[in-house]
Amino acid sequence: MAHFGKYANLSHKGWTEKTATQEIAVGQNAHVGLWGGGPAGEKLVVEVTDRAICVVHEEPYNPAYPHWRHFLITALQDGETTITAALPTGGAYAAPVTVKVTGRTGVRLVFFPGERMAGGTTEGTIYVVGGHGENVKAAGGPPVGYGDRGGHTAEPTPAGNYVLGPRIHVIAPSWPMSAIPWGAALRINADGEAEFEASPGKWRLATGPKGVVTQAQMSFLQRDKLRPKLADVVAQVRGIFINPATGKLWAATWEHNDFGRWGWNLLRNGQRTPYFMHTTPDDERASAQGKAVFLANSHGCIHLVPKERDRLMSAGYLKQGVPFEVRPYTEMGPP
Amino acid sequence: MRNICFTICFSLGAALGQAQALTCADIEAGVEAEVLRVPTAANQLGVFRTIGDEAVAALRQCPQSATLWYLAARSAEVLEGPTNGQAFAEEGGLKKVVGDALAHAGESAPVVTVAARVESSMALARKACALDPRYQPARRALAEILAKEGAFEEALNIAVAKTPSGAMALTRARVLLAARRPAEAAQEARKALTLTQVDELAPSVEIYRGAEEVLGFALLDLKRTEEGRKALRAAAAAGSVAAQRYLAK
Repeated sequence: MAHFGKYANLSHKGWTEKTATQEIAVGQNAHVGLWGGGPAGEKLVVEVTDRAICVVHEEPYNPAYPHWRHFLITALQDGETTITAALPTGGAYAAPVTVKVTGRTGVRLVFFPGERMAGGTTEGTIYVVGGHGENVKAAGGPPVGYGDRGGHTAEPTPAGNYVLGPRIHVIAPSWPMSAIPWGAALRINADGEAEFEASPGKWRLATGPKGVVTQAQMSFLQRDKLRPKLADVVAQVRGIFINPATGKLWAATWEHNDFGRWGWNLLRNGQRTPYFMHTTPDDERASAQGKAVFLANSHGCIHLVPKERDRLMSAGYLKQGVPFEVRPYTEMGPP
Repeated sequence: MRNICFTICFSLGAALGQAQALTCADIEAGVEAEVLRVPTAANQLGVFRTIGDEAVAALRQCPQSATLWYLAARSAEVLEGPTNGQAFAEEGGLKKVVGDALAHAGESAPVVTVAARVESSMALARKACALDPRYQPARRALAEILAKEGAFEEALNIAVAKTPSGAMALTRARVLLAARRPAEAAQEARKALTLTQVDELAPSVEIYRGAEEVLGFALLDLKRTEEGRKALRAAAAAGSVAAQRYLAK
């Protein structure tokens, strides 16, 4: 036996018990419970029929209510749909909830970072609220943090409300490959070192003892308490830019920036945070070659699939000033 | 030590035939330029994808390159778990890539070591050690396979390093856990978490994930349940399937 309903202190706002109908305004949330399970105690699969209208996520289990499961409903655009509970083998096993979403709102994005495991990645989805029900997959930081190389930490993307900053080519020398902006022109100077065009007509050294990438890499290794020899680092960095056999550049432009082609800072109270929404250079490469992209967890930023980023940009959802909410990792699903 | 794989790769490349070397050395250098990004790239798994893709493509022109076979096989191995085996599905998957590497570069200790791990093959692990007794990853592979067979003392005798490395500490932790010596396993796992030296081309998360996993199971064996679950949550977050399965129970 199983049925949807309200329990504990779940708000009854917009809820009609008799018809099991939940009304929600676009951009708002509602909560509903599911009591019971399948005939043999199976965990029922809870889904929304039309995920362009709303989406459901399961909240953490509350041991005070052992027979109830708790679901969060997020309204995306106006329309009507149902939430169903089915046996894992298929077949509805509880009367559905009707969800009526009404009204209009400005566009905002909501990211649920802990929805599912995809291989070794804790992967989530960014939903467009106030759009046409669009969503894209994304990966935030790992759900449990750890110390990484170069003095960096990999940490969960903090839940909260942000606003997207302007679209930029990110420069972050604490990651050596990101000391140079994506797409910067490269050239070999008279000394045989690589230079990049930092701004129109202004060239800076990338390689060699005083090159910005060399310096960034030295700092990175020193933060790990390693004692790198400058000559070794110079050689390594040179190898990334220059073909040792020909003395020519491997590429005419820089496409190894860790933040990919574009990044948007997640602003909080108008201030910059360490968190960006961006792609990665190797995902950009795979995407450009028409290959599948496998997102990896970030160090706290939000990784996007390049083609999905382009889709959101074209639709006008990824731009400065768009509100962006990060939900807790504990909100799981949908399947 | 961070450069050890690059050294191995370059020395393997030297074994190429002279006529082919002029062309293939250039191609190898192109892939090795990507390898140079591994230590400091933010998304190391992404770099492995690029290395693997480029190595596989390059092998069509240079099928005798042990360097490229190693890079292809190692990338496929590293990405197998994180991508659910999909990263090299077009090439037939991990076992196919590694099988082809073994067929073409069966005298390369790094290649045979990867094959030993992927196939859990004692014979291949012993062969890798014989090919290069100083190659630490081969000794680690052999030690871990010996532990699975219950030969714990022999495994511990093999799993020693002149220079302490996180990878070797992790191997010792795994052997000790298998030998039902959880207190020592936990100690070695904690050591692995503090050592930054590496002996093989690897993403940094690999040792962290493995060490937290062993630490978690060792602490559970010691009846330190909460600490054990905490370590397993860390391992699971870093992609440990064993930890995820345990926590899902």
